[in-house]
Amino acid sequence: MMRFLLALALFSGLLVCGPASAEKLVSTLSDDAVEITSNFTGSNITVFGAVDGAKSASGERDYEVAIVVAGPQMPLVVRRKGQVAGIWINTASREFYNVPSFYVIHMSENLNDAASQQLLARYKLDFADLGFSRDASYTPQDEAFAKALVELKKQKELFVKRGDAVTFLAPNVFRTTFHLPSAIPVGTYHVSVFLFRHEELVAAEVQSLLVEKSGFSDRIARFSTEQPLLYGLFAVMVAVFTGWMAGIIFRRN
Amino acid sequence: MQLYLPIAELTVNIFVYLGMGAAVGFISGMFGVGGGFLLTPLLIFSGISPAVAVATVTPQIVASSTSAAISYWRRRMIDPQLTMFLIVGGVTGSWLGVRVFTMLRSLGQLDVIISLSYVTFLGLIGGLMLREALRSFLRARRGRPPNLRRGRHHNWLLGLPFKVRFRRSKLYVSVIPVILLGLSIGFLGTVLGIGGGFIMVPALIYLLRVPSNVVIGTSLGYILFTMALATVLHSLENGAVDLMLACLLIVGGVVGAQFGAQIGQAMRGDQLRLFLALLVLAVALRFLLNLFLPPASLYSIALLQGIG
Repeated sequence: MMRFLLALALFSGLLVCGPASAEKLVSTLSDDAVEITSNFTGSNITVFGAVDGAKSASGERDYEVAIVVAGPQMPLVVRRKGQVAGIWINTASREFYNVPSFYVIHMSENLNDAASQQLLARYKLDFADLGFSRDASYTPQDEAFAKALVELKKQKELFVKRGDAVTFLAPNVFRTTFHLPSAIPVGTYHVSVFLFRHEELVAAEVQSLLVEKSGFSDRIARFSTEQPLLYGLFAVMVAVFTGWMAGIIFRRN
Repeated sequence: MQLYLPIAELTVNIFVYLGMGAAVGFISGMFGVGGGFLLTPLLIFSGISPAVAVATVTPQIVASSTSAAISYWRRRMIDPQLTMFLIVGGVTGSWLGVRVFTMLRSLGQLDVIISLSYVTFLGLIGGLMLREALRSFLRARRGRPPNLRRGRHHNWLLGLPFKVRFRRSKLYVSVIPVILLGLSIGFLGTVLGIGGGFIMVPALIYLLRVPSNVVIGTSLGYILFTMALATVLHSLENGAVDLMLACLLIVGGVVGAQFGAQIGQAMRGDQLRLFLALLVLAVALRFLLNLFLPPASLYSIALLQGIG
């Protein structure tokens, strides 16, 4: 859906701008799926991109690139602790419905230095612009909860913004590498590549990246959600068997 | 060596958790306690979410009580009738416990309730144990014989109706306090991730006057059943039992327990009880600090539904 909308936006952009900016953006991911196996310690994904039909006759580099990796959206509750009779206890909470579980923004150097707030807001290139949806009853004071959410996500490396992370290998070829930490949520991720020139979007492309549990850890997770009763009984059997075996092994000594 | 825990959704160093299981197993073998009251807090402090910690410790308790329960059964040191009635209460208690656990979790108050309960119960039991241990320790030093007299039967609990004769315990008491005892410990154990042996054993001795030769076996049999049930219920209601983590803890635990038991046999009973009392109080103190010291972050986030 998102891919379709972007394609539409791109298409209409082309119509408006005419042939003057008929550049084509081509990008690719080093992997299109990340498998979380039993020994998963995080992973790196590299995005390569090139601008086809680039007007590089002048030789100067005037393209800027932003790459956003967004994880599946989830409803979250943010809780704040307060002191009740000296004890720290959760006293207030706010709910946000469409928080990306993972959001990494990589930008080329000049874009990071010079981009206007409007540009960042329009393409959601800043955490303040994500605008998580919430109940209509929420007041501006509740923004503190949204800010705290972003801070906590940043601490877990699930929200990252790096200003000089997209490097140009040639005036029209660029590359960036982003890191997926080990505590990454599973689901379908979207990798969006935005190409700008002089504060204007020239081209954009969205690709999906699948993050899934795989192998033994996947089988256990599935077992637990699909057959919770059998899973519980199996856990008890493993425990009883191990305890019984241990009793036999160590009694001999 | 790193291992991804599929339910906790974390990558951890397996030696940390094998070591944690072994250390707690060592202590439980040494003192003859289940060790859940140490293992659950250790898991929580190491970064496992309280829900997964509590649920995953339950199969570990099953494993650590199995071999001991079998050997007590062989030596006819379990009162089957008494265990049965305790389990009847325990089943109800476990079921209630899981419901309350799920409810507290969705209200966002699970962590604070777990901390408060640990402070209360460990503080209380640890305090009583310390007093008891110090008394007998001092008595032993003064050279007087330890007080082995069983309390007299003028307890109001024993006057209740529905009396049943428990033959191996040589008791004739009402089943009401027995079932209530099983219920409350089953409830606590399920909510807090503890077997509850350190509450069950003194309760059987002081409240029901069960003779000491069947106390530990009966308590073990009861714990084995209620924790097995708690494992199944936690899987069904919360999906929070991490089998990988449980295996690490179990393997570490059974090995540690063997070495602990050897050390324990070489130590004097009153010394052991004194150390255990101090250990229990130390865990209570750690939770107390947790409740009153300002947290590192005022805010926390959790998924609205399902497991975080």
